[in-house]
Amino acid sequence: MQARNLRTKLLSGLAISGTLSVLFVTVVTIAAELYPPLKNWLASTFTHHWVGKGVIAMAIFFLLGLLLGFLWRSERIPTGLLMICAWVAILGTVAISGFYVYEAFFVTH
Amino acid sequence: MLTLALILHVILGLIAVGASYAAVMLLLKRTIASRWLTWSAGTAFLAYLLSWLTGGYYYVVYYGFSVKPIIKAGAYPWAHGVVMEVKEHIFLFLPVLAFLVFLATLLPHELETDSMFRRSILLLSVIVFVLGLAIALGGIIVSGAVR
Repeated sequence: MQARNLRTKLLSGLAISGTLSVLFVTVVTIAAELYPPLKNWLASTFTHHWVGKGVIAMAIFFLLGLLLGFLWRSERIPTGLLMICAWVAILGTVAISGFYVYEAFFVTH
Repeated sequence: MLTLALILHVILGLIAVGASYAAVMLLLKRTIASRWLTWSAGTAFLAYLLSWLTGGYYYVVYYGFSVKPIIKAGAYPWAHGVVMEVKEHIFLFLPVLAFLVFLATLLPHELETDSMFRRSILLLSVIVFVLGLAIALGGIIVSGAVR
């Protein structure tokens, strides 16, 4: 029972941090293309802008998720949080794909 | 080393997509084979993670300097501008989503009895599988654009 409760709490924390992580990747990907200083900062800090996005996204997911999981009180299955995470991932995919299609075919640099 | 990284990236990616597909199929069954489901979801997570690391090594060390300029100067510049850009960023979703699916499989009783919980994990599994498959197909397009 204790292991089950720990797992549901961790799942709750990681569902929230997973949503934030996916949201972060979506926002920072588009923002870094539109605002070059952000892309340059990621590149200079993490050797490559893509490495920076990945490292920060994983840190948000695992570190924040574990922290939230241990602080979480409710032992209910976080169905709603998981659904939100899934839909944010779908919208994030659409946003990133749409952005690069727009950049490649409709923007003249 | 670069060739080995690329080969491992492709093989691990295919294993991950196959394991994701297995997880979706197992979740669709009326009675869940929980041990198989945990193994499938765990394999998918580990394989996506390792495929990301090996592909990332190839991408950072070689692709940007040697492959990207060829594609951008070739007949299909969109293969980098759209396909590779989308692929490399959407890939960052996969370890996160695959780990959530794996963690959920450690609650087999709840997956069996709570239909809403099962539905949410099924949706996440389908997303992981579809994105993984799309990313693998994207890799084929990018490779083809170099030639």
